[in-house]
This record gives sequence, structure tokens and C-alpha cells, in this order.
Amino acid sequence: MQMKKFKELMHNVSVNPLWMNKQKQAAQRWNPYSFEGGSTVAISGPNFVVIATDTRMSQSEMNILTRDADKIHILNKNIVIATSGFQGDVLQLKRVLDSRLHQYRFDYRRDMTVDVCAELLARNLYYRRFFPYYTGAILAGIDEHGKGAVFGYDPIGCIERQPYDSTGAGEPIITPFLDNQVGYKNLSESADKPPLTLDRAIKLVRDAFRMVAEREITTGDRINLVIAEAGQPVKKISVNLRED
Amino acid sequence: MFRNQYDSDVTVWSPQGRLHQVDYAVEAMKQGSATVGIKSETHAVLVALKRSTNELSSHQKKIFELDKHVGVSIAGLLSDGRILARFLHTECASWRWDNNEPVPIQVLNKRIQLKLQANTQYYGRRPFGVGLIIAGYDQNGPHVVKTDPSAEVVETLASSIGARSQSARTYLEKNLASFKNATLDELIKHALLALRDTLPAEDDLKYKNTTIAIVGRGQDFRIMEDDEVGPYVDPIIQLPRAVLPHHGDRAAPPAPADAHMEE
Repeated sequence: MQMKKFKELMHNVSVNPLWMNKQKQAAQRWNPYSFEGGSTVAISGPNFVVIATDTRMSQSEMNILTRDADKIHILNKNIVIATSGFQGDVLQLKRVLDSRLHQYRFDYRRDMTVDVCAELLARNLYYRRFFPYYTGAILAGIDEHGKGAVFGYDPIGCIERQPYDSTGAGEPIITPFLDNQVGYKNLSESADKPPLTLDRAIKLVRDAFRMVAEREITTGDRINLVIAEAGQPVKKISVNLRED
Repeated sequence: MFRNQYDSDVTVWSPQGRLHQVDYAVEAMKQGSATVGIKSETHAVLVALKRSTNELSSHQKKIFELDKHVGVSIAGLLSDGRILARFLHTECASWRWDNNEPVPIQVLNKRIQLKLQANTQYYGRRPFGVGLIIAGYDQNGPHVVKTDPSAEVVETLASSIGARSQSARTYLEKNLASFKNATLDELIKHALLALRDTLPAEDDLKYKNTTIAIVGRGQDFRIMEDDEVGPYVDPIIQLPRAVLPHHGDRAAPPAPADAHMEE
């Protein structure tokens, strides 16, 4: 009898010791989300859009799970989605969008356009308001007027069409760089403000990623670049980055 | 003579062993405008005649894309046909969701067969008054599948359904040997020639009444309408008509005249 009581007390001590406060208890609980790191960027121009992600997936900011992950998903010839965040939710989100695009093709006998898909994604994200898809999504493509379009989201579907966007681990580093070089913010009156061509956009993206790879451990290995131009098939390029 | 006593319901057999309601539904299918499907080693082709009731109205759409690798052409009550097309589409989409791959055509055959058969056996339902030709491409190659309101679903090498389709079947039987190794363009030409044989002598294929759909190895299901069918229809119009349509189509024997293989 005393042995049983003793064992019970010993068990309680190991599971719930006096020094363990609420925070530490919470940290030990199972977490439905995990973070694989990485960064994404998208820049839109008058008739093109450039989307890029790195290809590294890491675990707890320590291990590298793979150097070859595909984080850009091409939904149809007009719509590309790039996401950072919890990759399990990213894959499910891609399945949901694929299914809705498939249905749209049957009902309306043509491909969905970027604007419609953007709204659809925002709603789908909000449907999961109380157990969100933990993704920083960027939807990009060529809109019905032939202009490049980039839509940025937060995990629960706040949608905004922007000239450029970045999400993921590298976002705090890339966004100010794009603000300055694409949005021409914080530049003096006499500074050079070249027009945004496809070449310049690609160069900026490469520089942005090189910058982040230097300063951020979960970004690196390779950049996957996808270029969508009005009236042309989608192009993919790969650029090597630091592997450390 | 005795048909009237035994045709009130689909659940009533006649003494001759026929379900008259199902037979009548097959007659409804024969009223629809013609459509032809042919397959080769690598591709499957569907062509259809779009009917328009008068000069002012548009032509009804007969070919539906169900998925990237499969589509269907309907003949008969087009509204019933659209319900079946939507059913097939949801089967394709749900297979993709569960298995992350395009649905094998055999699976579609089984599902549509069960759906069609249910309406021929339960009281209060009526058979679908429409026939389908499903054209698809999967791991086993191209498929052309013909369905009936009687729930007969059969894989074929080439088939045709709708008004005056017996003439098309005659053409298909005559040229069967040349389909297997035909190129895509040759296959389309054969299909259009077969389709043309179903038209009365004074009519001909036109851009606005012909639809062509193709699917196959390296080719997603693609529907061509109006001006897009020009390059294929133009050479056909110039060829002389070899055969005029049989007018005894409705009294034709029910034995399937299109060559079919075991499933």
C-alpha cells in the first residue's frame, strides 16, 4: 500500500515537478505545427512576374532535411503559388487549390484567372480561421489585362495585391531591400530610378537571396526562379547559393 | 402489339424478356445528333455534330472535358447527359484527391455502369435518355468507351451513336484496319468522314456545327470548336460523298455493328 503511494508520488515528481512552470509545460506539449524555414520573393512588372524560393528545408533551425525542396507550385499556366512556413499545410493547401481549379475548368470550360484564384485562396485560408494553415503564401501570375500580379497573404487570408512581396525566414531582410530597389522608397530625389525590366527583377531577386543566405541559417542551397510572362509559357531557372 | 401493356414502368418485364422503358430510352438516344469516337495506338479522337434548333439560337455543346486525360461526347437528351458528365467529373476529381493521379478509364467505366444500371431497376426512376462516348488516355493507352441507356458500357476501337449513326459505323467497319497505326491527323480525318456520312445529302460539315476533341500520349484533352476546326474540316468538304445515310437506321438490328474488344 505504501509502495503504491510512493510510486505514484515518484511519477508525479518526474512528470510535473515543482520547478516546472506553465511555460515549460506548454513547450513540452505536442505542437501541430513545425517550421521548415526558407524564404520566398515575388516581384511583378508591367507584363511579367518573377517568383523565387530557396530549396532548403531545415528542422528546428539546426538540421537540414533536404537541399532540394520544391516550394513553388505551378497551378496552371497563369497562376503560381510560393509558400513558406509549415510544409505539411502548404501541401494540403496546394491540393485544395488544385481541386478547385479542376472544378472551375469543368464548370466554366477555361482556366481560372489570377484574380479569381487570389480571392479563392483568401477565403480558403479564412475557412480555417481557428486552426490556420500556417503558411506565408504568395500568389502570382499574369492577370487578365496582361499585367504581372502579386498577391500577399497572412496565415488567415488577409489579401493584398502588391507590386512585390516576400515571406518566410528572410522576410525582415528582403523586404527593406525591395522597398528601396523596387519601390524606390527612402531614396533621394536625384537617385537613379531605373524602370523595372525582367532582367533587373531577376538580378534583384538573386541579390536578395544571396544577401539572406549570408545572414540567415535556414535559407540557402539553391534558388528556384519561376518567370511568367504575358503570352509565353512559364520558365524555370535554378541558381546555386551557399550551402552553409 | 403487347408493348403497351408492359411498358408503363421500368420494373415490368415483357413476355418476350424485354424492358420496354429501357428500349424507349435507347430510342431517345437515337434521336440525338451524331457523334463518332475512334482510337489509334497513341490517340483517341471524338467528333460531334452540334445541332441548333434555328438560325437564331446557338449550337448546343456536346463534348465535355472531364479531366486533363479524359472527355465525353453525348447524344440524346443533353440535359441528362450533362448530369452524367458532371458525375464523371466528380469521380475524376475525387480519384485525383485520394490517389494523386489521373483516374484509370476502367474505374470510370465501372462507376458509370453502376449509376446507369440503378435507373433501370428501381421503381419510380427512369433510365437516362442519353448515350455517351468517353475518350481517354491512361496507363493502358487510349480508350474509346460507348455507353447506352440500358447501362451497357463497352470498350470499343471505334464507335458512333446518334441519328443516322449506322452510316458512320459502316464507314468505321470498312476502315477499321487503318486506325491502329494512323497519325493524329489521319485519325481526325477518318472521324470526320464517318461523321459526314451521317448527314443528309444536301448538308455538309461546317465550322459552326462540328466539334473535334483529341487526347493521347503527350496530348491533354483538347476541344476544338468554330474556327479551330477549319484546318480539319476544309479538306473534308472538298472530298466527294461516297455514301448516303441509311434511312432505316431506327429499324436497324440491335446487334452492335461497331467492333469492340473484351474489356
